[in-house]
Amino acid sequence: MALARILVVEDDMVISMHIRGMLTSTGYSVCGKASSGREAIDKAGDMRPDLVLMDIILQESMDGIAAAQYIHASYNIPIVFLSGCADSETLKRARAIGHFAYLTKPFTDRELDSAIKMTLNKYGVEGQRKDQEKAGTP
Amino acid sequence: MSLRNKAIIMICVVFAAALVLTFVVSQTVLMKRFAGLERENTRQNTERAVSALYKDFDSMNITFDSTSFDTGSFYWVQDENGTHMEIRMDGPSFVVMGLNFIVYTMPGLPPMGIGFDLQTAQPIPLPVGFAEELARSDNPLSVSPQIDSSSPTGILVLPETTLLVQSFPININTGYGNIQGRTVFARFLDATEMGKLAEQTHLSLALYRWDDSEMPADFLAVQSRLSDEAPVVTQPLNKDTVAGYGLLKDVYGNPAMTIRADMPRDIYHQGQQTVYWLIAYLAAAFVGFALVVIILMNRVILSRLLGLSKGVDSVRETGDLTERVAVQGKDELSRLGGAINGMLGSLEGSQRELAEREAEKRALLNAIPDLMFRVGEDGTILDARATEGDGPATTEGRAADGKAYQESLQYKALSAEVIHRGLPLVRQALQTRETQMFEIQVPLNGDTAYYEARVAASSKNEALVMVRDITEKKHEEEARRRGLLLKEIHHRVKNNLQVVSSLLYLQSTRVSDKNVIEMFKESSNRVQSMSLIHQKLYQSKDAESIDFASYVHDLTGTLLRSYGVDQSAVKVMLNVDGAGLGMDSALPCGLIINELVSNSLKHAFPRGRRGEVRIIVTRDEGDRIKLVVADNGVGIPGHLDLQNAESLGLQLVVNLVDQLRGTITLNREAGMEFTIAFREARGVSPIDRQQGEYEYSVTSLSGGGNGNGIGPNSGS
Repeated sequence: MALARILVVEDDMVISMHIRGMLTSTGYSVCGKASSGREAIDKAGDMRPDLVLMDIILQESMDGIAAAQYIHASYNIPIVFLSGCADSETLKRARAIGHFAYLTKPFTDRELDSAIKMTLNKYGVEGQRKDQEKAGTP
Repeated sequence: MSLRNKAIIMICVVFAAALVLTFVVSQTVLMKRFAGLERENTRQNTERAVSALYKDFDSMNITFDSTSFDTGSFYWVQDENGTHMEIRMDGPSFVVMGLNFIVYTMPGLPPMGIGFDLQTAQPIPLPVGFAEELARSDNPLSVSPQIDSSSPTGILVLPETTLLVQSFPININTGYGNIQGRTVFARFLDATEMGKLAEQTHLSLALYRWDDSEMPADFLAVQSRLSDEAPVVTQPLNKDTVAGYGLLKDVYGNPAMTIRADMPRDIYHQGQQTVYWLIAYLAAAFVGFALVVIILMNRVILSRLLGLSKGVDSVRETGDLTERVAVQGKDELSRLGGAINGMLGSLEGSQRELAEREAEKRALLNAIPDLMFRVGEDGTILDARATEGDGPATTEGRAADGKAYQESLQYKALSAEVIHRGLPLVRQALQTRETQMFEIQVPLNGDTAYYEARVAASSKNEALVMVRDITEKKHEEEARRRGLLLKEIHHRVKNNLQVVSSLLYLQSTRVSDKNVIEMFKESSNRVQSMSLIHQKLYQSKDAESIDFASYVHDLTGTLLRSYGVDQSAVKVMLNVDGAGLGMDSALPCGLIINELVSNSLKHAFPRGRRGEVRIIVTRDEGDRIKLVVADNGVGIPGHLDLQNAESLGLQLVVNLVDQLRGTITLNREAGMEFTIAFREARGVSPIDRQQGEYEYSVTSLSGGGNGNGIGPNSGS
């Protein structure tokens, strides 16, 4: 199985580096990085990664959840949310997009790995089911 | 004037007018009737007097016949030329006959006669002009008996006297031959005659010649009214006497004299008296009627009406709308009473309703905690109202009443501010009719009180300023802002520590020495443990203390994952007091736990040894906190001296316990058990220690608003 290609969206570049380092050392391929929602949407469209690691709080007006909603709706790419704080309102908005993982900073490389694996597996199953549903319709 | 007096006066006036009318009518009608009677009576009496006058001659006629006056009573001598004639008659004959003169008239001869004064019994000459009058051919007294044998009677007016005369025809044969002529008897129509007549008729009589120049005025007045058609007229002389005037004609048929008969006015007086009695009886009857009418009217109408009026007056005076007027009988008055009672009833209801509404309004007003000022256009405070009861605190204690309140420092400060800052807004409110608002800051009791003032135009040139104490709200707002700011700071600190942790991680990926990597990892964990404190502070309610149980749970979880501990082999047992822990204690405490748990996880369970790590945090009533970190692993080497340990972790622990001014003991009996005891430093938060700096930041915040981008979600 080829290495999963991951797009990292994080506005703090040191933390972005950290995450990318962890991903690489854990065995994923980082296909790109973005620091804003707009950039994330553009890069997701260009690169079509297998998964997007999305920080919720971004510096520009569009936050991570809005960007994730667009990416998921447009390109059907699964999302793993990252956030320093997880209040119930934010979680509710994140859940509304789909059943994706939600990681609270700080996290270890193992936590990151398991979250990505779980999401990819789940998405694979869901993706297959969706494909079947599409095939079943005349 | 009362209604009763008016009614009495009205009734009296009506009856008096009726009485006067009756009097006037009866006076007019009855007295006219009586006057007619009196006139008739007077006329009859006067006629009686006139006829009595003429009656005398009738008696004279009789005397003349009976005495055979022809030859025996007189002699008459006629000389040859027939010019002389003599009457022979003695005194007693005159007296018997009551005559004064006897005159003979012969055709062709001058009249001849004699006179006799009955009073003096002396002969008197014929009056002047008598003979001439008898000699007149048209004198009926001298008409020849052959032509007229009647005996005419009449009055003869002579220049000096007036005579009653009668002539008789003479046609006899005597020694002297056939004598033809007339005998004329005459009597003085004078006072004596009148006295006799008066005596005879029982009347008071007076007689004046028609041409008398000294005639009294009343004779003159009636002279024009006397005529052939009205030979008698009557005229009241005064209130006691009435006079009847009769016209006497002379022998020629010309008016000769006026006779007046005076009579007492008996009929008139009787009539007058009758009228008076009638009026007296009527007056008595009217008074009786009036009394009955007044009494009836009083009983049936007036007293009841006055009763109603008194009832209404009483209600008006006492203001007691529960009173009712008395209602008697079944007529318009009792219906009026009923209507008044009905009105009183509805008034009472309205008053009660009004009072209830007033009470509601007052309660509403009292419920408004605001101070109120009534301010004029020129900036004078017309009125002020402090809240009742629980007034605002002043330096002199709580204001008991409005006056005391106006003495208070707060009132003085507020009223000055209301005038100073509020006056432009008062004018604006009066101009625009829109409510204006402004805030007042007043130093009070060494603190600052905040007020919010609303200015509303209440009339054309007055505004109501309602001042509300918003100090508490301000403080809450400030606390909220401060909380938000603190959270933001904690968030940023946490993020920065995250970055430090990431830097350490990135650096560690550049080395290959496992010990060095381990050191980086430990350092990273220490930073993480501090970062977690800030995250918990950021997530806490007040941003000043954290839920230590949650913190310890997350911290141990992070450590277990960090060291890749098989959680089925090594269990972590937590028993942490749920009370909040201040940042001053939480940070060193968190680092201590980090070091001791890391130590246990690294060394206590080598080669898959099973066991557990226990963390117990308890707090006694005196804020003394006991932290126990223990494991049942391989234990610590016996030579280890805590105070002189070589490892950085233990040195950190010992020093952090010092920072907490606490104690640390190590129990090595089963594994290891560290017990740390310390007293939490309370009441002094880092915020409070940096009050001045904090206030500065609040000031700058409130000055610039939220536009500078500081907010809870603006960073990551």
